Amino acid sequence: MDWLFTELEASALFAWEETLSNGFYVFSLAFLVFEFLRYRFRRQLTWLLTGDTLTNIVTQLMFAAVTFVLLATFYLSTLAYFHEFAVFDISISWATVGIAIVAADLAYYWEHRFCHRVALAWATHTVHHSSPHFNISVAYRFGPLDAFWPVLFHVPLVVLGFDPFVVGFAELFVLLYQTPLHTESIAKLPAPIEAVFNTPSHHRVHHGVNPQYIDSNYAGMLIIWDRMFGTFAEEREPVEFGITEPILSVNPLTVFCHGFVRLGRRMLATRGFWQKLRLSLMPPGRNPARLGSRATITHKGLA
Amino acid sequence: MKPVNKLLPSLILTLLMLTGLAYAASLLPTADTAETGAGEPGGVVVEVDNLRNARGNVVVLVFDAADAYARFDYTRAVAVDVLPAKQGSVRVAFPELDRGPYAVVLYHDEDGDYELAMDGENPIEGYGVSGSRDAYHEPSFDEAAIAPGLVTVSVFYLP
Repeated sequence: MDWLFTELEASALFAWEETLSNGFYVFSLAFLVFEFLRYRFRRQLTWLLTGDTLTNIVTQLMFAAVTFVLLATFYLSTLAYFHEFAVFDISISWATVGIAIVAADLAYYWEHRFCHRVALAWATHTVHHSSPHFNISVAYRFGPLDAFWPVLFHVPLVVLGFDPFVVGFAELFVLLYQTPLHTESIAKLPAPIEAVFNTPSHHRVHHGVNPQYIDSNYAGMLIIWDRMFGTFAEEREPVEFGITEPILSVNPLTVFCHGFVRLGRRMLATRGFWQKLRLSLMPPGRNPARLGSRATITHKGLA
Repeated sequence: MKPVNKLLPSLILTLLMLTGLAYAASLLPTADTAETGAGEPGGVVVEVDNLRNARGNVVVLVFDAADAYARFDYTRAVAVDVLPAKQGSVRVAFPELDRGPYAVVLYHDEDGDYELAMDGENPIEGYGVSGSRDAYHEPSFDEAAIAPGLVTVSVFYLP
């Protein structure tokens, strides 16, 4: 078991990041073929579904461009800066990477919950949720600032002492784990797995717009956080996928920008700078016209 | 509707758990990988790797002059050592070399004649140079230059 505790160079993690991402990408393409065959077999394959899948791929390309040109440097340099204040001295080994993955998963729960409950963050995360379909290509449906918000939740990790490269690797691991969860083709797994880990079933619920499924199952890898913090919902009735106000478009630009366009419209419709600010920080369901009355929009209309 | 009053205790619990995880990680033992210098107070230590068998010798030459290196003038090498070959890797130390820059040239002298056997232009025996990327890369002195410390030189064998 010596290899678990052998000191690693941070650069060793890069090779693993590439191997894992490429491996998952290849797997996803193969799995997508299977899902399309399944759609075909069940007579659910439509041109809109195909268009939606192509759109997912395009959003990923746009996201990659934004991230690699702008955000990656910001992410690494911010983490490097805060790592100077590290409380604990944590060396890099596979054992500490394992612990970092658990810590990153816990941070991910909160980052994800934040992205659903703060309108400004929802503006980018809504892109991922906006597809009315649910297959593995949806896992690659990204919004413009999806790579921005994780920084806020990773600063505590590097301040605690985890190396920035380790945190980056751990985050990638948590994200890649969730890739194969984006499918309707896998039913509930054996109870012990469903109890502890995030599964296709739990993640379907998370993507659901049914009233009892809204704003639940934020987990990345471990569903125990949702159970602990009271945001868990069990899959009982069939899931309706998407967002409460559907976009009804497969235009990649429309999809990619709709979150900010909608937030922009809501802010324009709100009078007063502080009201606008409040709107961007409050949960996304708030109706600007009735901000004071705490009315919320659900898919059944104003409530 | 999630009960709002669970938010603060959840956040506090989260911070406690994260601190616990970080503290646990800081306690884990770490076996250091081979450190530079291999305990030598100074000088150059050459780790020769990728040796394909244990036949013959490994001849290691160190140059400190660019022209001597370029002409492979072994009479002007600042240090030479010959050691028995082993499958995989061998290590040789030159503790007196503590200035630099140095270029390390070595070959796997399988037939034991202390020469690098050639077939016209191409070496038949394995060879290596510090700073070389592959079998065909001929680094200049600057590219091959190393400072005192541990340097790993891989042996390349032409097919």
